[in-house]
Amino acid sequence: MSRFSVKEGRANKLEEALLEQLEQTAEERDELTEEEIGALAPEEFETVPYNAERAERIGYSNYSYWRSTLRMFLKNRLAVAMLIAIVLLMGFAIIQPYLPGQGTRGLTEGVLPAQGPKNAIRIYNWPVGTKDAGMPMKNQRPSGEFWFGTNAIGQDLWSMIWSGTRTSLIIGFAVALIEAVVGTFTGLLWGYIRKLDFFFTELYNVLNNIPTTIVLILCTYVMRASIPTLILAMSLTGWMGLARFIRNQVLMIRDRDFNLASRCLGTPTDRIIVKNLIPQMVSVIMLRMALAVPGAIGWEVFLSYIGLGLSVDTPSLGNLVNTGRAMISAPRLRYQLVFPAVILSVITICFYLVGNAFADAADPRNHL
Amino acid sequence: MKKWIAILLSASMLAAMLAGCGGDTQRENGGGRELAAEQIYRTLYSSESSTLNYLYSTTEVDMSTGVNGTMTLYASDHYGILQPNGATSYEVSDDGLTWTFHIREDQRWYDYQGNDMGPVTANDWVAPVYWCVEAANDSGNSDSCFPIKNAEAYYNQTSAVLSGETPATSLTLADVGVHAQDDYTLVFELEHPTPYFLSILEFGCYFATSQACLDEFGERFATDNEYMWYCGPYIMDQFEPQEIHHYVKNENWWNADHVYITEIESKYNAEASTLQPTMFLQGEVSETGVSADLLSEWQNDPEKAKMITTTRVQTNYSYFWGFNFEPRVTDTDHNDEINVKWSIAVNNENFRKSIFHGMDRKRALSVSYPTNADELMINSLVPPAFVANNGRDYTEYGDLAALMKEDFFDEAKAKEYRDKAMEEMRPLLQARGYDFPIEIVTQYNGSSDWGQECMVIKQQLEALLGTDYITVTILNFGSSGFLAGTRRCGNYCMQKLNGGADYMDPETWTFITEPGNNYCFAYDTTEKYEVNTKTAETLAIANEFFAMQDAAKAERLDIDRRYELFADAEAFYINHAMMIPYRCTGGGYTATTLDPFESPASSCGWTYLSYVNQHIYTTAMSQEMFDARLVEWEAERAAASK
Amino acid sequence: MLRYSFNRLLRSLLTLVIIIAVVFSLLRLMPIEGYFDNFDKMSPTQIQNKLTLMGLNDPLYRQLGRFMWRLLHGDLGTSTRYRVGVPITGILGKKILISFRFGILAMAVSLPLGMLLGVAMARGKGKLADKLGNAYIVFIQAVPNAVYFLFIQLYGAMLIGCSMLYKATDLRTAILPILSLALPSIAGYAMWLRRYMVDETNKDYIKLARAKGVPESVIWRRHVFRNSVVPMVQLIPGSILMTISGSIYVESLYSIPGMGGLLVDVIKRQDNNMVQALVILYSIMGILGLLLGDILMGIVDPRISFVKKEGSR
Repeated sequence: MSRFSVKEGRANKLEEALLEQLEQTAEERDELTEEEIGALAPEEFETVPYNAERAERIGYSNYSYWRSTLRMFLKNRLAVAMLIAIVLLMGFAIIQPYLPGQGTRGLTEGVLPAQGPKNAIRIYNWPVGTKDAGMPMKNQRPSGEFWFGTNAIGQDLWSMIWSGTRTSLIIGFAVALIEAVVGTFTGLLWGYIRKLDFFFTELYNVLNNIPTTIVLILCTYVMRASIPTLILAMSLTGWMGLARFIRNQVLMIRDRDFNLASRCLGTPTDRIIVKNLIPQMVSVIMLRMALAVPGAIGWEVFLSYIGLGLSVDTPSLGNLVNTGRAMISAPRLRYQLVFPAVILSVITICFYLVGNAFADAADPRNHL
Repeated sequence: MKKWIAILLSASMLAAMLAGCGGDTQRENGGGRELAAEQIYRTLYSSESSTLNYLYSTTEVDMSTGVNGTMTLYASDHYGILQPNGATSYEVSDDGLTWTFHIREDQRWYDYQGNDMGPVTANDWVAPVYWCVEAANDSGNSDSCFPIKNAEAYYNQTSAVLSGETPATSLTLADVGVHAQDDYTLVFELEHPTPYFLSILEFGCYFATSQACLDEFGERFATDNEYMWYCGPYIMDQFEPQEIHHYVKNENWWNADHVYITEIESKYNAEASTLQPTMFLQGEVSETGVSADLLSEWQNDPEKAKMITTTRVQTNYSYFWGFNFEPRVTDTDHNDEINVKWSIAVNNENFRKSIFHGMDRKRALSVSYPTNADELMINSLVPPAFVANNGRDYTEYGDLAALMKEDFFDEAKAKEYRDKAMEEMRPLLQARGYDFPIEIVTQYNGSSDWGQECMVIKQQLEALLGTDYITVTILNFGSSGFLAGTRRCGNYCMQKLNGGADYMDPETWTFITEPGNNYCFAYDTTEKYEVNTKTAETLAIANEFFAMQDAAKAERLDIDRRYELFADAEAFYINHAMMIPYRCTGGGYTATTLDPFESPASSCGWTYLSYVNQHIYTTAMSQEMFDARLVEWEAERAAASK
Repeated sequence: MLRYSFNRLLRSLLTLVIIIAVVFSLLRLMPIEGYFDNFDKMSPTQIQNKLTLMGLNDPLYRQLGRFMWRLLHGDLGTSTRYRVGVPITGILGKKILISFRFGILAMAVSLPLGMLLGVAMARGKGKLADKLGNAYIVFIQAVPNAVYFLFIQLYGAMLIGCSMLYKATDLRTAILPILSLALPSIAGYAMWLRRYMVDETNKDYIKLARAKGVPESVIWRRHVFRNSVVPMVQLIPGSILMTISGSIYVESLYSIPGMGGLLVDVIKRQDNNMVQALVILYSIMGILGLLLGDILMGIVDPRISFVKKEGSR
């Protein structure tokens, strides 16, 4: 209670000073005396008719949630740059197969490796007249012909990486979407309907405590690894966390005073949800969606590492990185690891930063 | 224990030095390289043993302890000839049913710390057989015991008891045909005359095991190196799972003079294939495999190019391209069409022959084996040099001899058969509402080498025979559950298949082609699978083949005649293009500081895991040294087999 | 507090039983061929033999019942495929110790370093320290672990001059694995601490303290840091317990015989007993970690009381 005792040090003095000032101003109040009122002319005044609509109007601030969010987001220049980078990357990944010069490159056509995926990457053979005519062009370093080089089977690494990016992004987005939709829906149900609370809480405890690794490995081992299987396995584990958060929010909000007030006024439930709840939750939902994409890619790398990932003729960033790892002892071949790792890192960084920036922007407390 | 090891080490180093001084011959072996000062073999392994119990297990990792720690009665030497090991000699009765072995005297058992645990007697080869025929022990080696009289019957009896049924027989262990007449005489009684019985003795259930040891440890037997005893060339003094296997030389083994490597240090690493090449260059391991990708890297570096050699061809495993005679493809979006068309095609001998003569096997092999495709390619299911009788190799018998000299790849013939096939098959196809081309579905397990091989074959066949005749569809099944999902359930049209040998006789390969097999289904499958699309023609060929094989199996006394019958049957099968022989195993690339020609060269069994007779050298072997040594070795072997 | 813990433990027990039952049934879906090494050459009798001995021929409820009964007696069973015939408690005991030791050492390195970094980043918010720290965190989380661990091993071993693999006798070989384990954790701790501290500095009472003229260092030390550490404390018991699960990347690269690759290995080998034991172990660790974390938080922060109902948290 020594140096920081506000009362002793400052408050008393402050109090006195304030009281003095108050008395002073009270004395100096500018009020009209009775005679002055009578001396006023009626023409200086205008009567305002009664307008029912305008009688209802109350003061309100011109605050729009989404506009403020957007404004805050745009202020963060790094995030905007990252967002542009992602959009460009994704756009390129989609357009890449249709660009000119991505097809046969005028070399002896090789053979499509597998008749499964329709957009399988060609294998390039040495043309007639060269030393290894007819054999695949394995492990060629990046050059003018092959911008990212070729891999051990003779496929163009440039096309492989873009195809892999597409696959990984599809898996990531699918997982993120499923998580968001299922998680939000379940969370809302869980929060609103009290009777389901016990059931869902138990379910949450069970699912939360089974380690994700076990679920993933068992799933990919029993059903063979393919894009739908991976999406299914990864979605199984993610949605519960979001559902729980949503449920907590719902519980908190339904008991808040302003909701009570809305309910008294007769606001329908869905409007409460849309206007009151969603803004609090959007930031978290978007953050989780943004982080789910690199998360899914990370799990995919893990699965490829233990040998349960996608088969090699469906390129994905996970198995490209894994195949590249085996080349690490040959310095000349390290490019096969470097390129996929760089693309993967760029995607992760971008999503991560954009997600965080959006979450910060969407938090109503930051809308100053 | 440390003191004991130190004494051992110094003793063996002294011995090695003296031996080195004495023998110029040691320097000349290994291609003229110098012996390393420390004869310690270091390696990495990436798959841990599930148990050290060589009676129970059949995987290579697990058997290594048994091979190096105990003894078999006879063991292959580095020429592939069976030499006395635990036994000194044997006799066979005239009817071929009784084999008597004389056990070497003065052999002792030791525990993992080197304490003497008693003498090695004939009973030590009775105990393992008793253990393996007991169904409750769940041994994977029990079928190796079945040539012994009543072994199979006893096994079935105990199996029945296990599943809660009443057994049909009431045998006891004494009824099983293996006894120790006295401490140094072992007698086997067999069910049928089995001329190749000696080679079966290299399998798990015939590794010496002391009954006293089994009694002492009971269920814990060989779960750890401390729970077993050793009488062989090495003692495992350290076993930490997922960490290290460490062996030290057993100085009291009868042939310890020929054991030069004094210590074996095997460390576990799940990434062994990635790290081993780098570790080899730093001198931390004694040898490493070199993958195809690393190969081109190393070949471009003058230093490293001198370190690469190919490995020897091994004859205990054979690969072939099989035609599926009962197609049940499920992995495409038009399975019915594929199955119907393929069942018509595969039953047409001209179709099969067009593929048989149209496939350029050498080109396909060059994908993974750019320099030694010729050595690996074989023209029969049973590889040459697998088994010989009195110096005459099995593949020189009967009709196989002519087959071995042929070059199957013949473009003109292939096209001729193609034209005939198209004529014959077209009406059949159109009757079912389909037409050419025939779609050939082949699956692989995700290994990029295999995939590449398929692609080369696809390209070559389609270019030669035309895509209006056939198209090849390559599917990547992935590695998990591969065999169960493709071969065993008939989910393919034509695929690279393989199988291995269990003993040195052609009969060991019959499990691939016999009725009831789960390889190519070339038999009447109505009973087993409720469907049979084979034509009478195909079944006739198959049945004739089975008759020929049965006749060969029945011939047990005259080995020449037996081999001839088997060879005729095999040649018959191949001449009707029922399968396309491909290659035997081995042939990969390696960098090694050992001399591969010093290691045991058995065509089957586990003796190849032994480290007897091998040296560590200071430098890696080069391909020139390898080729020179190969010539030398083959000459020596021919001389020794006479 | 005691009553609350007791309640939670009871509920967790129910959860555990359900988990075991679910995983048990899932494991019975595995293909039969996976239990054998040499399936093609085995006769039907041999196949049936093995299945009976492993107890797989009985109906599911009987298998489950037997397993639960044995579990109650503290018997986790013996491994059937991974190390045949060896009691599981023995196998796990050794490995847990090894992974635990490495994990604790790594935590001893990463926790202080991570917190230092977090504090530096929070205090210098927006300045160079913050930017550098952010870059580090983002980089570590973006680049896949498997990649930079491999590079660390290759180049680090050359730099230090020791063997690439871990040897218990050579302490230098332990440096690289601990470093690899610590790097991601440092990033994690720094990120969370920074976030909590920044949130804390935005609170009103800090503004008041500043207005009153409290020195900056006291504010940081006594108010911001201590209050930010409270939510972090919740993570610590969980992290400690989770170290026993080991890191699969680090352990497989350096040949450390810990728990890291064990789960994958036993699932691939279809050793049902081991998989079940591991699931039970990890679930218990998870549950205990949460419980201990909450209790620890309750001890550290006097405002938190567990008497209130769960919903208002």
